[in-house]
Amino acid sequence: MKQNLKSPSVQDLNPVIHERSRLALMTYLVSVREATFSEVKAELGLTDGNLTLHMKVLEKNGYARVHKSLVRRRPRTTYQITEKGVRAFQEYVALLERILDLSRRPPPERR
Amino acid sequence: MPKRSLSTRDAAESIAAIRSVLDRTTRYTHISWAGVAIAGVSAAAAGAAGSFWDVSAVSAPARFLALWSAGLAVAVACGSWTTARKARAAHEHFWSRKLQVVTLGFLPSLILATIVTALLLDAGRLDLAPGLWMGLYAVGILSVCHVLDWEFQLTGWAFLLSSAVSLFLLRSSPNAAMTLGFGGIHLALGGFRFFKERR
Repeated sequence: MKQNLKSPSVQDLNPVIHERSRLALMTYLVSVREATFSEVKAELGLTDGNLTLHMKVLEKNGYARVHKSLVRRRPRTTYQITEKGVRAFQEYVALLERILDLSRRPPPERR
Repeated sequence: MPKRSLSTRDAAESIAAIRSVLDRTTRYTHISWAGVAIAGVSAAAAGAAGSFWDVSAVSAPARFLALWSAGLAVAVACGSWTTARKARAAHEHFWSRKLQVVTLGFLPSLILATIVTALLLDAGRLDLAPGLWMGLYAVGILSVCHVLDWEFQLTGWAFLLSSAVSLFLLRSSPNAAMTLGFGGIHLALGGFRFFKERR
């Protein structure tokens, strides 16, 4: 079996998750699975526009689902992480750990 | 010291960002020192009243239960009020997702404590109640301590120890056991959190 000998780098990281605000959003949604717009906004300190924009990117990539409903005649937006999103986040973290792990190893000796 | 590459630094920063979000969004930090200290004072006051009027767990079980239920009600009311104030100051809802996690984790112990109390009352063995209440309270704290500050884990173990002391050494003095356990440990925790929050 062939082994991938190429060392991973930041360029290999999923660009959808690697953006700072989306990384925070994904981390939060992976830990709580589901949250309302106001909960996410309060926890992560994002503006309405920023939150909507980044959630659209996550939704477009299939990492999150957006559910809109009416609760006591008031609109409520709920975000939910998808299985694809959880897997992508796990792969992203695993790659980060590999990058850090490789950086801790001493460089190979030159002959 | 060798310079870290941009790639490594970026990866380390991402890991730090993940940790920071997880730490901020999953840990419940709104339990105020004042609420905990009031719970301690309330238990100490109930214990003093129980000793003063000689409210026995065996000969006057209904009065013993009423006294400690009143102490619990004061502690819960004041604790909720101080927690709500702290949550409001942090611009969060009182009944937040984190508080729901803490409450749901604590609920089984609370339900079991109610069942055990009814059973002990029926059997005329309320003298065992303080030790069992402390034990179940300890289990409740320990089951949610992963989302609370580290001192709550220590508090859980302290209640477990006081449960054993109460059951084996202080069975004949339930009011004293309650004062030492619920009063003493809550006052110690409240004092510790007071200095921690002021630091």
